[in-house]
Amino acid sequence: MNWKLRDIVLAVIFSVVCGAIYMGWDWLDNLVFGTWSPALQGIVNGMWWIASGLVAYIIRRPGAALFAGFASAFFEFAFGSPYGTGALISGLVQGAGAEAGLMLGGWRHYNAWMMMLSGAAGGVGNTVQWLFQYQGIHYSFSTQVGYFVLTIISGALLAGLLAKSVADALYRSGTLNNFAVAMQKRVHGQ
Amino acid sequence: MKMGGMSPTERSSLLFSVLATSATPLVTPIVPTPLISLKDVTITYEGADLPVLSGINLDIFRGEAVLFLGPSGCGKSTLAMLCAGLIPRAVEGQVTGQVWRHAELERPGSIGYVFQDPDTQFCMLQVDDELAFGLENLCIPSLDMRARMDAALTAVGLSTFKRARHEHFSGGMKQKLAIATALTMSPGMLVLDEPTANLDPRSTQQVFQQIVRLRRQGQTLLVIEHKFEALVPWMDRVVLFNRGGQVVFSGPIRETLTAHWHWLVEQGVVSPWQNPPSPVTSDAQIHPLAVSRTSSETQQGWTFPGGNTRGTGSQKTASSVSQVPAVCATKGERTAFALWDGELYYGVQRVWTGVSFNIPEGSFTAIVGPNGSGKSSLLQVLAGLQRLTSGTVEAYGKALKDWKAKERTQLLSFSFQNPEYQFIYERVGDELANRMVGDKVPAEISQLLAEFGLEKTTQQSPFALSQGQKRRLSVAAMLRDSHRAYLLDEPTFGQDAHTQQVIMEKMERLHEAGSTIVMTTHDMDLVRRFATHVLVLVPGKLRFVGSSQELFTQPEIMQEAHLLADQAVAEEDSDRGSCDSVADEQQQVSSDQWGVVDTQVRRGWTHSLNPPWHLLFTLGAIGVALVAHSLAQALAVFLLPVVLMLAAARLEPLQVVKRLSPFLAFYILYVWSMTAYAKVSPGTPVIHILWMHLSFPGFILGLILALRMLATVSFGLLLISSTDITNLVVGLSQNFHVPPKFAYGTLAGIRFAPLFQSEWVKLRQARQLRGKDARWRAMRPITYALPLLTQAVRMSERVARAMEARGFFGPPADLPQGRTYYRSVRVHWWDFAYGIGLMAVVATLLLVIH
Repeated sequence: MNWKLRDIVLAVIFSVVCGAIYMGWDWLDNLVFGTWSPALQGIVNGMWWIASGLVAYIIRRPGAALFAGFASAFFEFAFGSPYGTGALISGLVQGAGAEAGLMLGGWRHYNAWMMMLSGAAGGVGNTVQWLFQYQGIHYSFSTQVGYFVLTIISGALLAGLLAKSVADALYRSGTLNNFAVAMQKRVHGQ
Repeated sequence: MKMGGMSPTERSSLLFSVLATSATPLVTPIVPTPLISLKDVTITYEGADLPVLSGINLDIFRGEAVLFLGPSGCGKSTLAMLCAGLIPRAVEGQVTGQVWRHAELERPGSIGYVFQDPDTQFCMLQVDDELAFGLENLCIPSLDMRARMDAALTAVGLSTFKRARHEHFSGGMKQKLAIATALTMSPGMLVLDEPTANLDPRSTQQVFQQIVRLRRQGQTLLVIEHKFEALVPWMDRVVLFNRGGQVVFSGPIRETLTAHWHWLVEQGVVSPWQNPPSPVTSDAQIHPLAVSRTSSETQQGWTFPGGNTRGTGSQKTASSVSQVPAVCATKGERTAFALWDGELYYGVQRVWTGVSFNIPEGSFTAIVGPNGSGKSSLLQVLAGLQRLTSGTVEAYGKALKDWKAKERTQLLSFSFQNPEYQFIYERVGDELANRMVGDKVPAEISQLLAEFGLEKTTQQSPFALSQGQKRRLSVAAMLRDSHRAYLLDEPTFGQDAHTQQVIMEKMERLHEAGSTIVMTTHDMDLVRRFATHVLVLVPGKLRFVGSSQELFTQPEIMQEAHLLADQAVAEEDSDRGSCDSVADEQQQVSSDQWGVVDTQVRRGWTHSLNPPWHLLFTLGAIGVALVAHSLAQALAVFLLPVVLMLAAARLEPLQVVKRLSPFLAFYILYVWSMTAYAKVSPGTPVIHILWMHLSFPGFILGLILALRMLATVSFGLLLISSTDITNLVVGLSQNFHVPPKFAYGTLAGIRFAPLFQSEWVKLRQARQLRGKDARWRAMRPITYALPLLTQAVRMSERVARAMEARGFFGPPADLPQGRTYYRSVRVHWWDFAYGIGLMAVVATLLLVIH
């Protein structure tokens, strides 16, 4: 267990921030997109596991994506999300998905492709939960496929690339010097 | 890294033998014992090209009080952290040279460390838990903890707050608590790293009194403090640093300060208008117990040099006096800002009421008052960033709300306390130009950059600048266009004398050119020197409006508004001081538990459940409840937690309804989605609208889904309303063997949940002030993320550092059995009975009902 205390505290504080963002996203997602088409909803889904990508990219430790996924969902729940304890399950499945993506790279590679893979894999977790907990199986097959594809793309873009670009901007601001992202960038440039 | 060559103990024993031979053999000579010895130490931070400190040689002796002094960013804190062993353990850095510590300082927690920011050095929610945290790290048995906690709390005058939550403490109380947490661990040395930087004058004084008390008890102290004047009589030695991170002078405090005063002014450590301490060694130094009068005289001598140096006389005569509502403009003077019957509430909490005043055009007005009296809010009201609950605010003869947004940005300029909120570009040059300029920085922008000493940073990220540079950049941005009024929120906060001087000179020049300046500040020296008018706020109301000259003739107002820091630092007042605040603070500290959900008054038996197991069984129960596929089943699994909330957690029915109601609108959307899009068997009647097909079976599916979601929310409410978050987290370590690092690290992070809400509001306000051209840019998510997240990263580092300074590393942090526990979170048979019972009931409901 080679996590440093500051890695953990950073993961938790980022999860707090992301948990608050998720709360707002719950409404946006459902109101703006869900009402018009359940499949279309998928396009904004990726935001819900951005904590996984963001934290894992910065602290670069096995388990970071899962930890941040669950912690951010826990805060979303504690802040009073309409998904209630369902949010905790989301955090687990989405975080596990994102973690699985990074595991494929042996937790050593954090380039844009890897981040997109991780974000997309989080979308698999999301879709599974949607099918069984949120009545996804009662929609038509085409709706289910549409949801799945859009969710994966959304995951790759929002939880993968957006997370990476935010973290890179943070790195450029010089505040991440004491974290793994800065140390690896100094050595390997990625 | 440690040792090598001859250690100081060896050297002192050598010295001892020399002395012993020359002295009378029977008398043991007193040889000072060094606690810490540094030889030729150089420190380089990760990712930095140049060392932050180099060639440091320093000994600190037992019982000594040492003051570190130098310009911002010179490495004082770095050296203090090295002494305390935080570098390189908690903060990455390359250390070369010899660092030697006395064996007694190698024990965890034996070097207490009080940090600058009162908000980022705690990791628990309650005072007693906070004190216990360090004791747990030392593996003190829980039975012995109380005595040590009580002793430490009594020492800092907080003994009535043992069970309080510290998030609503004033800054001064937080710093005293931080000192108490260090004292519980019986430190051999105590480091105070700018402990008063964020405090108002009176809180500063409270902390100084504490320092004096510790000094008298013979505590070895290492103090870093910009406002060091009042401490001079109590310190033995001063170590002076230059900008390059070298120790240039070190010696007895008065002599050294006097001898090198000119140099200190040059380095920007003290302001040119400050006077050196009286060179005489006062009695204070020899008999610290007989002092308060002497030190007060010394104080008077140098914090009030030469009195007023203010500009034009005309405005000084203005104003009527002291009692509110009052008006400080005389006839014929034009009014810049006016407020009538201003009232401001945050929710139900009163900030202030009955505030009326005029600020004359061309004045230099200071808003002063204790921490938390609503100074910043008042300034924001004047800028139109914060709406009054009732009352009117006028700017230049016209109601502020009637000014168009564009006109208002031209009319006035506002600078936030945290400059980062205003930054929306990733390069200093772009930021100052307020558009993307890249490498082609316009001439006038380059000139402005040079004026503020920022020319070398043009291509850097504004967030990567030092505190002083950020502040200068934000002030430079204010000057880019000319305005009629400049509003500044604590512009000199946390700045060294050099940056203060740059900023205040610019403001003075604008003032002379006829602009109106309004600023909030704690620094009465600045008020004395620059302000023509003063507004004094005390909690709840405006206490004084008038010229600054008048204010200084009314010590009772200054006393009430916590503005008298210049008094002698004496031990006697401190008890009275802390008693005063007890009443105000006591009501505040009994606030809600999760920052969101109200705490229970009545407690049901679900409170005695083991929190981690409760969480786990709740997840199990909702997992089973997911199987519900008929309306009746869904209704049943929803009603179950509601019944439990009423019967077991003993919530009021109204509370339950109130908490569930916000979600209704949300679930109606879900019902709609299912109604409109559910897959239906052929032949089912459907209504086609656009691409939707509304059906009755879909509607039922939607209801089932909504009820199931209500069930998960209700189970969640049941969990939250019966769980103490500290027990949940501590229980994870005690019952589930989660490494304490993760459990306590999580708890430390949770503390920041309420904070980000207010940060978000400030950030949005700051964005309102950017001109139209920059607005589209301000919308980009990254420009929101950067200021919030850089803040989050810094907080994480500070909290982690503070926790490690309290001995949270090695076994106490890594192993659940590597520490003792103040709270014991037990697992009982009824936890399983309840959990398994709950899941069984859900399963039975689903089996019985169809």
